[in-house]
Amino acid sequence: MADLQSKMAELSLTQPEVQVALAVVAATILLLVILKLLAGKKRGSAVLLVGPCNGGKTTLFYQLKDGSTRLGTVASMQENEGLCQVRNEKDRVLGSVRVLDLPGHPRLRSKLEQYLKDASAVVLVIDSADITPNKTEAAEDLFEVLTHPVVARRRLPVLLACNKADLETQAHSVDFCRRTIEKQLDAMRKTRLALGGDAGRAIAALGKPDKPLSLGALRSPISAASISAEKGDVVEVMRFFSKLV
Amino acid sequence: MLDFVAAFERGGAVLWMLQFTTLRHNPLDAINALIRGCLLEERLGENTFTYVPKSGAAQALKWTFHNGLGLVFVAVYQKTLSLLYVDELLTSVKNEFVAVYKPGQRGYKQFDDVFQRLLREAETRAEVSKRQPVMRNAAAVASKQNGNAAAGQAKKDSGGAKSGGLASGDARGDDDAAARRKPSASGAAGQASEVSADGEDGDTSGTEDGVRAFDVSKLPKGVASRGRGARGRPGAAATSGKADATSKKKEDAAPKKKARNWNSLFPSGKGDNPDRIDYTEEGDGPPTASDRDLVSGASASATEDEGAGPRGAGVSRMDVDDDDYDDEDEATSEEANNSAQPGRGVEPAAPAKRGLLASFVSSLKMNVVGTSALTRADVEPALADMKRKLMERNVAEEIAAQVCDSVGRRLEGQRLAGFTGVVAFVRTAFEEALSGILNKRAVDVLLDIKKSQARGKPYVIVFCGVNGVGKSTNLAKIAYWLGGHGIKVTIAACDTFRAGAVEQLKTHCARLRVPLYERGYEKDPAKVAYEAVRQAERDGQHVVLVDTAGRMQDNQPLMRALSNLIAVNNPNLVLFVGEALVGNDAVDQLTKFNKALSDLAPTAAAAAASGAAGASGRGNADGSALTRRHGGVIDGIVLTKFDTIDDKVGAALSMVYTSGAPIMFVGCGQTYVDLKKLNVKSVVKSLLK
Repeated sequence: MADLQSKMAELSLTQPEVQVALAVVAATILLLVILKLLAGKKRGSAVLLVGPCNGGKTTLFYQLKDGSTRLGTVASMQENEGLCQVRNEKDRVLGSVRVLDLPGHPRLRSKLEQYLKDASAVVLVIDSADITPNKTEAAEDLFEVLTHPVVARRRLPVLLACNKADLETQAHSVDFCRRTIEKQLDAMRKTRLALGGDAGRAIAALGKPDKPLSLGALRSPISAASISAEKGDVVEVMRFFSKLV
Repeated sequence: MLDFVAAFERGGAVLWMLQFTTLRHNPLDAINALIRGCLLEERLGENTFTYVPKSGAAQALKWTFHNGLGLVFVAVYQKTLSLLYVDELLTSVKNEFVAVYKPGQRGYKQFDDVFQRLLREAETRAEVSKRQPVMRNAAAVASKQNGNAAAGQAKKDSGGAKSGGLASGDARGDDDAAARRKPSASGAAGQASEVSADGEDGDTSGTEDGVRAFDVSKLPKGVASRGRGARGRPGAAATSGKADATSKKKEDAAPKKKARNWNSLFPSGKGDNPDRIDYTEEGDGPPTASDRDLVSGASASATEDEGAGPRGAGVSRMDVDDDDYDDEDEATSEEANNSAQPGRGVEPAAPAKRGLLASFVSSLKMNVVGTSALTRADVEPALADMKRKLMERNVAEEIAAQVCDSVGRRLEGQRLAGFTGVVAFVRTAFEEALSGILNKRAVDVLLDIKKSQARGKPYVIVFCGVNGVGKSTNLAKIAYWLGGHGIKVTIAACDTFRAGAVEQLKTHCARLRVPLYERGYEKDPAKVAYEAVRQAERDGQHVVLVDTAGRMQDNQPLMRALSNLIAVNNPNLVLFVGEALVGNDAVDQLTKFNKALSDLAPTAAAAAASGAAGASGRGNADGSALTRRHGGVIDGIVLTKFDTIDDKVGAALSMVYTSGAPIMFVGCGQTYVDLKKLNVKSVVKSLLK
């Protein structure tokens, strides 16, 4: 004990060994912090386009990427990935985001889980003209997105894009789409909760079941907008992106 | 002649298209139907797809892939025309297009001229080959005799848009060779293996058949079938031997029975230690909760099960989270596999013929550097291995063949990422394919029940299946589960044939405290069901579960009776109950059930006219999410006796692939709580283990 105490008394900052040791420790800590920061930034870098089949996701993707939808699209069998330039109203380039267009077919739904892990925002594209037959699918997609643990934890912003607004009379209004989806989500929340919850799903993110669900009251900021991917009217999406950049 | 040609990316963007005739519907609709109905359903083995637009004649679609670049080329033409040159045309288009293709560019107007040239060439080639004179015919006749049987089988096997597996015995009744292939007592299993065996050994069995067809057809019918029955012919003997070999392999793979060790003084680790010999009810068997205790709510000990965890008394296993124990195991087993794979991956890539150094270099190029594309020959051994593995896991033989074929087509021309072996690559492709097949959007039953509750109509579920699969037991389990969610259930006893069926349901209903609607025996099941639904509506019940008698899929009058029941009552959900122990017969059962139920059902207009008054229509009349799947009437599958198979879970894959319907419930025991959802990840893992 006495030896130890005397040894410790000898140690002082002026000794080179001690300085070197401290420098190494400091450098390591600094390195770890930097790595963590870098890794943290890389995570959550893509915006996902999800939604039921035939909603217009691939059209929107190409519209965002290079502003062209020349020959039309067919049902996607595979995801599309690309960079999109974010412009503000004055057409100045603010930055670029990576956009990932996932296929809507139920078979390929498992990809959604995979890609949600490093998403930074989600755009749910629905067909506003054809919403009633597809409302269950759209609500299921939104349900999966909102109850995903990563999304719930990081409170990723979600945009409900009601596409095909260029069909004017046939296309329902944003409000109608929003309310339809809310009602579906509400019903689903009750039954899914009753089923004991799927493994690992944060159903609590959808709020308490005794109150009717309101999209505005959820933790993740959800906004809704009406766009037309075919005609190139994607101002709302750009605005949504500009908040991310 | 062609209506429409297009080239598009797998991601969905259309790169180039050319329309020859103007049609009333958008040509892209046909392509969308092709993608959804065929390409994504792992049916790449078939080579045509039929699309019937709402207005106009049926169109046939042919396609080809370029897997390296992820492009698909489709040609659409009227189905009534049989154009022979389309396949060649597509291949030549593919080759030419690849030369012009630049990723990111969309719009290849210059390709139009190239295409016209190719089209003309293909047409002239077809004309020339049609007009080939006599010398072709002589050769054709000779080869016809040899190859007729094999070719005929192959054609009949692959023809048609749906799963082109078993052509029904009727269609083949006329053919010579078919006289010997009539569905024998051994049933579809023997038939399937015979058919595939012929398809594989094309020429050799073809020559045998040619000779033998001559002999056998001369004999009177009775003798011919007797000869087949006695298996006197080497042809049949070879195929039956093959069938025996595969079944023997399955038996060998099954775990051997451990000898019981009666020497209690020196218990050896190997034998089965008899600390528990008494399995009578009062004895201390594995603690099972008696059903009476469950229903009365008394605390019962949970049934022992692997990975079950602490459960409340009497909670149905549908409501319990499935432990994802596979995640951790997966990680460790994947690492073990991956370290083994690159080593193994080099070997299968080296066929015997090429020199050792050349093969080493080429496999190095493929696996490590990832430059050369995969050819069919490279993946063949891995595919064959996978097929054998799937069949060992009780997947029906033709389903395994079709899945392997379709994955093989998807892999041709793809490049391996650096440092992956062929085997690992094939395995990932299989995992994706199998998950895709099994992952189906299942109907959310509770949600639909609530919807029809809101409308004031009872939700009708009909259970059908062959004899002895567990319909009544699983019906009771589902009633228990629904009861646990506060849903009022009625059971309709429409099995008016089997002795004791009504009493069995009476006992279940007494235990579950659920009303039973029964009218005894020898009554018309359709009427009983109809009245049961009316009664349930009057009583304000939410769900009616209809139990039907078991019937074989070949039995015409019974299938007709069942489709009559379904047509008259318009149930919201038709569940096919199938046991997991079934092997190749699963395909036959489901195909025939689907076919019979849709063939013998009246059209939608007639059903509406005949006054399905008050009953909600089958499908979209009320906007509910029940859409017709893949042309079948069956909406979901209940897979029973799942606890009796260890990892031979292939029946799940066969059933889902054949019918296109999702597996909604899995019965995994014989008590009321033994009902759970299908865990796709663990099934895929077991299939590929």
